Amino acid sequence: MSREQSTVADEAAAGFRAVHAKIKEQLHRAVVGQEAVIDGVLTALLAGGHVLLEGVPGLGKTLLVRSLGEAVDLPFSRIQFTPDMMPADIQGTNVLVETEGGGHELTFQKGPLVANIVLADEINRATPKTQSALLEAMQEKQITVGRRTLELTEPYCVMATQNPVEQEGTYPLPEAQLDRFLMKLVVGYPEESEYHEILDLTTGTEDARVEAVTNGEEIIAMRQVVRSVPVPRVVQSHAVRLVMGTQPGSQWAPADVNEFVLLGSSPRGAQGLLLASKVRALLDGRFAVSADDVRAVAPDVLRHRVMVNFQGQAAGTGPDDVISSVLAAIKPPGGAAA
Amino acid sequence: MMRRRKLERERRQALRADLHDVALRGRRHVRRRRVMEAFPAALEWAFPLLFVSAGGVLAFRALLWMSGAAAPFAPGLLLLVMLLPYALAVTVRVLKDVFLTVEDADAFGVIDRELGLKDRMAAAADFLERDATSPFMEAAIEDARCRLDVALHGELSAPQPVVSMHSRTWGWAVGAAALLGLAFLIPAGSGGEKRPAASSVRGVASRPPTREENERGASDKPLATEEESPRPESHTPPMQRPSEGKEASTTNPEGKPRRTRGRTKSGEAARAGAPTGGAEARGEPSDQGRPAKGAGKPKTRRPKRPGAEKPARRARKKRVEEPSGATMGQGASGGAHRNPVASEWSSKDKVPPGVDQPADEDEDVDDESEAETARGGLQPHLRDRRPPPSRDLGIGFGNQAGGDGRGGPGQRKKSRGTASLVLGVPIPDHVKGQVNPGTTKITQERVEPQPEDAPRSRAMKRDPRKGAAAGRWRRPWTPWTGRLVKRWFESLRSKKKGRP
Repeated sequence: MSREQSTVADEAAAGFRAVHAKIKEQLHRAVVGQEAVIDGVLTALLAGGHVLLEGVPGLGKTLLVRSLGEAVDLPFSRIQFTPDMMPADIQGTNVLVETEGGGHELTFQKGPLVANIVLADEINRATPKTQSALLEAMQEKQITVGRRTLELTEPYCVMATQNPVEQEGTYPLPEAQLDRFLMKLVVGYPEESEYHEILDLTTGTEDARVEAVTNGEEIIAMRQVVRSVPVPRVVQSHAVRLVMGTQPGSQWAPADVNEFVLLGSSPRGAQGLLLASKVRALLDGRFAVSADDVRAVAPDVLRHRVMVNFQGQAAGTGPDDVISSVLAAIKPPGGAAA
Repeated sequence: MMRRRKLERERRQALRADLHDVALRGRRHVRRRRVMEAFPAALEWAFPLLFVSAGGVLAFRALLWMSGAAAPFAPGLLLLVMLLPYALAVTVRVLKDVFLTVEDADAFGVIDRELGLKDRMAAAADFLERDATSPFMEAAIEDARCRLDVALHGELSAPQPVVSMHSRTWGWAVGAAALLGLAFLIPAGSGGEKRPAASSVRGVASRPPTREENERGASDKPLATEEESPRPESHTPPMQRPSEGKEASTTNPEGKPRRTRGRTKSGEAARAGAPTGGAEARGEPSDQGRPAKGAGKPKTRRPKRPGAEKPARRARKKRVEEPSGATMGQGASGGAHRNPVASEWSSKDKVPPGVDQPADEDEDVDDESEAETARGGLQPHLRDRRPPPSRDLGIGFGNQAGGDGRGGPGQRKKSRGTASLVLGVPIPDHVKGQVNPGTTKITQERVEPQPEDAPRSRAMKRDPRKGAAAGRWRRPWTPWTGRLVKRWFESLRSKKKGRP
């Protein structure tokens, strides 16, 4: 009986890896390099979370998300956030429509938020009021306009981008919104070898075409597989300690955290750690989450949940430094501090 | 079906036994690692111990040398001093660490990490203990079963001692080395014939005076030290200085410091103003130079009590008045550490808790005769003289009796009315020092500009950026570049003009 069960799990995991590989292959047609970012975006999509991409302009953030929408064959919408954008512009609003009989009636016009994959481009250019319109959509997967509440169809994934350098005229995302992103991925410059490939791909006559290799139902099934991956108690304890380690004043917080951190990760951080770890374990061919998985995804999952205080900023300490010190201080089971 | 279940149960039992062996192996490895870590870690305890023992050696050799006994160089002692703390620290550390319980999580964890099993053993051990298992748990157990051979027989890396100590620990080590060096710098021979057997303090006090000290003579010689210490024959005892012929300092038989009093009367010695006793540097304001109070006058006061008690009482009374830093004459200023301009309001307002002024003290003076001679009947009788009531705050100063709540010139005010009901926290209403920031003074200095070396960047291969690109440095537009671009455009225009 146990062998049969394990066979079922084995097949599910194999299917998961196969679909993941197909999506990744399609993405690589359009996007050169950025292996870690592609893995992170797919992890967020398959774990049922949202992702925030941060990087300077021209690194292919928008291209990546658009290509993903094409590869998974899901309704995709792009919202270019501007300072004068209002919540109704993205959620939708009631408009007065002329009926056939010559009368008029109010009809709800859906906004671009009603899609499966939403690209919120330069999300930090919108005002907090408009940014807050995303909160309900990201957490409850629904939008409320007036008295109308609209359920968003699964799989629903918001992929937002922001530019870290041009901060004039931008509104930093509030903590409540940042916490709703499963991961924050930092998009870096490509390698030298990748430049040649990018130039060949983008300056020639041929256009890279991304084909749809999966659909919404398959993505939902893959999410179920991810949720089925069990987590041993010791690994779960390690994840909890890592999250508590980012909270100043907690028993697991190292000295750097107590000194430089204003706000640590919330329990959502622990949820995100385990969900992302499950995807990683499946892709690695394992059926249970390891502490190494948790530690590997910790920077991407916790980066935007740690707020550095003034002393930390003055000392040049960033969230990544804080997470590094937490990882160094809290050893995995059987680590050096055992 | 039953048979299959039985087989499955047996397989699980076998797996549990194997996992138990894996856990045992992990525990052994953790203990071995702890022992290896104990050796460098013991240094953190050993160095402070070494410092203490080196201090002991130094003290021992110094005592030997001063007492005149031989203090030969002993390499065995040095070795013992150096090795004993380390051996002690290692022993304690090993005993402490090795006998700590190794949890299952750590035992499986160390095997999983060492052999790259990615927590497969820990997961299997966990899932086997659960009542209900999911297909993924079963798959994880099967996965672990496939890797049991590696877990049981895989080669574990030998633990390596890692020395990482705080700078403070190195400080102990350096301090200990310095003390040991100092200890063995003490001459090996006996030092008895070179130095007196007395302690160093006594030796300094009883040494013959140097020429400078003789020259200093009677002008600024500390009287207390001279009176306490036995003087050699060659030293002139400065019992009476030329300028203080009538001065007499007293020392009580117990050798305790006693303050001399300088009230000059007929037949009494003038007060020197300097405290007696070697340690106390406290004096009273000198009244030398003033005319003696009783000189040439007949004594009008009639003591009611035996006269022997009177000076003592007067001295006690006098002691109540705190000396200020403003001393006159040649008396040593016992209040030199005090602010010379400090107000004595507080000291007069307050009645110090240890000093009471009994009413019978006023009875020392015959009021009737005093009224006739000194006050002319205008001043109140001395028996009516009471210490003024404390005007300090009553709140928070429960030990001050007699406060009438009028406030006073002190820093803390009595809060009255509603304020006194709200908070019992005294609030200082003024701060000593400058009352305002003062006038602003701007000083302009002419500084010649100095040339400085400009940092030059070196050409080198740079890898593509990987991290966040926030806060990038932008190369400033240098004048040279500006001129270059200007020339280029000018040449471009001139070429265009030249064309038809």
